[in-house]
Amino acid sequence: MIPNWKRYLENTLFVTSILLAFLLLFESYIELPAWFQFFGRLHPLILHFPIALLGLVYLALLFQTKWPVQNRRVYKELLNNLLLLASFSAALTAVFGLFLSLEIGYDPEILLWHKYSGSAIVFLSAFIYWMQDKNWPSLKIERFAITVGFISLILGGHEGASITHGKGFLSESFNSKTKASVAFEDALLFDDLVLPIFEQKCISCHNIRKSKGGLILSSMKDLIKGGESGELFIAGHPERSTLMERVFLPIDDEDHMPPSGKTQLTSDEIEVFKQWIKHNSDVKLKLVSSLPSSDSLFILGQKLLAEPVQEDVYEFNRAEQTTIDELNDAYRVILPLAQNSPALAVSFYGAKAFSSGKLADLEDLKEQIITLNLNKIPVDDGDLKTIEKFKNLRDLNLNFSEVSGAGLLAMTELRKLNKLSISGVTIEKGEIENLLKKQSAVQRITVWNTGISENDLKALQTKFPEKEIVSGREGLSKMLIQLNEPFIANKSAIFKDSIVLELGHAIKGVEMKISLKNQLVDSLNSQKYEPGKVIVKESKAFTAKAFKKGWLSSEEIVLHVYQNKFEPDTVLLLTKLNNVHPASGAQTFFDKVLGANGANNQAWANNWAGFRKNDMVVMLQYDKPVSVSNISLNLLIESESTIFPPESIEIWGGNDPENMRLLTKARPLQPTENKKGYVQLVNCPMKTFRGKYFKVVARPLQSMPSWKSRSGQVALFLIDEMFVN
Amino acid sequence: MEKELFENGLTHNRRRFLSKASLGLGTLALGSLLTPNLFKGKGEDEQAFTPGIPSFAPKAKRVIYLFQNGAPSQLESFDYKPKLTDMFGQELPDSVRGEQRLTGMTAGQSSFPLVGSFTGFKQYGESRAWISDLFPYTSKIVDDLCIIRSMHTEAINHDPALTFLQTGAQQGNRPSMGAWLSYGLGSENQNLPAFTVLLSRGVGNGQGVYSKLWTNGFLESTHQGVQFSSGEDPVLYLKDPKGMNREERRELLDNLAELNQLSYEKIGDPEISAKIKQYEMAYRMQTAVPEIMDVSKEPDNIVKLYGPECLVPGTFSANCLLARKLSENGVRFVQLYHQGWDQHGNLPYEITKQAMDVDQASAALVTDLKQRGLLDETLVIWGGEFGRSNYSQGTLKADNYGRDHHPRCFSIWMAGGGIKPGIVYGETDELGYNIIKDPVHVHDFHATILHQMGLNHEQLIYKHMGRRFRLTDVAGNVVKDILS
Repeated sequence: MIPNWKRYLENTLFVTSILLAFLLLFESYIELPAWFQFFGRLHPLILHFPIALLGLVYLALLFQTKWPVQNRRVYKELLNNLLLLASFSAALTAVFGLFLSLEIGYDPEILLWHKYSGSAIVFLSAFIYWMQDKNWPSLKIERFAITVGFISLILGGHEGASITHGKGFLSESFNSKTKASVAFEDALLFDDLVLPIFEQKCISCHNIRKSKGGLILSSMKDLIKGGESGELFIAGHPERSTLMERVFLPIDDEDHMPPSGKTQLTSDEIEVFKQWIKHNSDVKLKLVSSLPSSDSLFILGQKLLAEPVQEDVYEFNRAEQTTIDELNDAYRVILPLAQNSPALAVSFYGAKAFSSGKLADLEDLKEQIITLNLNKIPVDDGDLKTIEKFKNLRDLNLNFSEVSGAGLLAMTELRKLNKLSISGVTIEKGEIENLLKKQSAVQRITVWNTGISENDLKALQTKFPEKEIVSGREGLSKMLIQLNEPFIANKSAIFKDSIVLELGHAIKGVEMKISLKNQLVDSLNSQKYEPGKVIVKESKAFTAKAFKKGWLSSEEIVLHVYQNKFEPDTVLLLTKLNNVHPASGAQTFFDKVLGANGANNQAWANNWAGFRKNDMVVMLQYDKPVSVSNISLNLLIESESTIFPPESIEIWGGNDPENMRLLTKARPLQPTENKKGYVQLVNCPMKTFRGKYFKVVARPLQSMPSWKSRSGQVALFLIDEMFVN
Repeated sequence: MEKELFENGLTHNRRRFLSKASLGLGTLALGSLLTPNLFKGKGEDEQAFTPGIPSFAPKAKRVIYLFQNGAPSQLESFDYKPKLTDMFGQELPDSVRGEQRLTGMTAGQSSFPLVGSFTGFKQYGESRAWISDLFPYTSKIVDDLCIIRSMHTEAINHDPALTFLQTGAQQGNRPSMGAWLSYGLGSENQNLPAFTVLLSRGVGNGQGVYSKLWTNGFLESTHQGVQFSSGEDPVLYLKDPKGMNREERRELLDNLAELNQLSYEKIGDPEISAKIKQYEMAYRMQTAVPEIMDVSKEPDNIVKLYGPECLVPGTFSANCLLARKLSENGVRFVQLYHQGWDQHGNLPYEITKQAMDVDQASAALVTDLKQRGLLDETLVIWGGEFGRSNYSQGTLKADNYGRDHHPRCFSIWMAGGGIKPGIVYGETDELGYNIIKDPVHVHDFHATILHQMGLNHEQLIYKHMGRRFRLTDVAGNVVKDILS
């Protein structure tokens, strides 16, 4: 009695097999709707069922003679049902597989084999199922059929895996080197770097048999031809090339290449493309001979193709430690390159301590020295003969030494010299050229400040493209830069009777002009500054400017000198200082130290005395009476914070502290808007008064103006010096 | 069930246990014999470390670290985020911020409005790196730089962050980077200290620096950073006092050394022998230092390269020029601190001034080293202690804003010393808040620097108080992608 489900399933299997055959034969005439893609993509999902189930059933059937007799019928029936299910799943898998094969990107050759072996699996399994019912003519034939079915299963599975994972997926585990790597020295940019990337990641969809977008990527000719979207690249301009555009699109953009789901390009590979296009998509470029070793493409190529660069293995023996110890001193330092390395690096310091003998002493270590640093040491051509004996020298620094081009050219023995630095040496272009020709091992030469011009440099680089020719910022002497401002070089800007003005400037050979009338420094109002010649007899603000040939003149700067004729013998501070700005207490006012302006400048906090909560009352005492006509206060004003000038300054005078009378009351001008900090001298002139005691009372601004956010509150005032004249 | 349990217990007798255990362990041992590196993890070949010599051939021999103290904003320097300008004033999305803690200064803020850079950015060089318009000179040397945009740290305030970056831990009193290098490699030039420090400050809001950042920690005190100041007296009290001449000084030192030696033999304190060495070095420094620090003889084209500020003592430019001179003379680690980058407010004004202070001189330093053939062996680093937030601190105005601290991403650049030139490493998200590619932690940064100097960061160890300390503490991987 055949159960219903079995009958239905058998019939469905039959129908599906027919469908499979039909699809196989008439594939090219059929067009399937897009949503069929869903079924196609179920193929990788359900293929596991036929593989496992058919494999199980076939194996079991092959060993049917070993079954225990009493279970034979049960097993037979069970396996029969299983075979039906397996066969049906195989048919379904195959049909879905056909749908999937219509999608792009599968290697057509393998696909063909896979299709046929897959279909063979289905037909064979259906046949074997059908024969199970009918009973085979003989066991041998049954076994033969099952074996064939089994083989087809293996074949079909193998082909399927090759499509997904590529050929040789398993065998690759036994090869430690992935491909026959071409020696880096012989590597060609296109053939060995660029083309392999196309072959690995793009050619499955862009080849002669299947060319998506009409684009083929298997040879340079095809690359140049381009595809439906036009040219693939513009030589020399990666930023305008479609190839780069497609690669850099966001991965979910449908134009992004390679399509998401396929193996993406690594950032190194993208870089290879970019560099290749940049180098004009050269097909013949050989990496080693045409590029200096610092070129990014060279380095990239090295990374991808070459064996990892081993540390230089030095073939010479270690030097005796005692020799090294003897020769090592404070001005001639000999250090091993690394712990287990026999190589030595020698540096000379201190030009004065150098002598040719010191260099000659190193002959005992002539095998082991690989780095020699003679920067700014007066080495001459004679010493070069000694240096030549260090045969293994790789790195030589002769900056600012006294060697000449001829001497350098005479050095022929340094075969391993890799880096040569001769900045500041007198040498000509022709000599450098010859040097580069002779010293073929030199990969980098530094020739700054040797007197050769920028054009010479360019010419040299074109002649020796594989070498790196380093120079610095040439042409700086022609560059116009602005000078910085002059400054007052006197010990103190405060003087008693007169001051001989000293102006200083950071740079040598600078000419300075000043305008004592505090006007613009130009030919009308200014005079040349000469040391010792400018004498100022009173407090003055003046402008100064610096000039030098080959430089732009500096900005004008306003500088102050202050006269303080009468320095009091005793200063008493009678009120409290603001605790944030105590400065030096009572000493501040006449300590001849001016506060500077600018937050974070130490002087700001230290030299400015501040008052807010109370008035400033300072008593000046003189042993002998003085005739005072003006007292000035040097203030820092920053209206954008809360630092304002005092609202009133009273000057009291007398001959004893109990009897003083008010000499003058000044109301300094208040700022009318928010301004950054500036220094201002506030004068309090009065009728000349002769006395021994003077009291200065300054009241902080009690109520800040309305345009301040803190209007109505008391302001701070800062003072660093007082001047009594 | 009980019966089964009972039987199970009977089968697990001592004999069984021992034989199974020995079989298991024995197999492990066999495995480690067959594959010697089975339990090594991914470590490199072991090379025992000896103080004073690199463990393997170094690429760099010296370091110059241009430290920008206060944390320069990466969003106005090397990390271009136009999306922030598009989203001006909008709130920082919670999904982006995650669990990031805030400083006390912005924790009280009710809103976190995003703000983009006030200055423009352009692309430069082969790497097409984005550099802001505040750094024109740096943009000219971009083909020599490796710009790392994905640095990150845990510390959120200056002291712990500075300490972390300089010493490898947020709590202080561990040796600083320069001290470790001095311990690991010694000094090239016996007449100069191996580790020197130069300070300068700009007009921006500054944070202090202190000697904890260049301390020798528990290492011998000869490895301490020596603070040089530019100007007449580069090192305080270096000159002999009036009336004493060099020979007398020499005799004095010899006698002193004898006395100290007696003391050392009696007490055995290693600090005493360190002191003897310090005096000797100071004696040699007396001649070497003034000669090196004298910038008056620098030719005009050098002055133009660094900018005329380089002759004004105390400026960053002057310090850069001195750094080159010191490094050229064999000082292993020269560290510059430029204070004033802590732009919590008034950022557009302050950072422009700060950038002007440092831009020309930093670029000039790299060029100067290159034109002397020294850039290969000198590692130049530029950067701060953390980054700045993409949201504004305080009131946000169209033309003025501030940024708070941001540890999750910041940018630095490195040049020379075997670092790949002309690349940009690491990437942050569109809003400049999180890192999305190739993060580099402070420990990784340290590991890489030590690697370039020829030291394995896992082996540069000092045993102190019963524990083996190292600069990278218990973490850090060398960032191989930026090494050439």
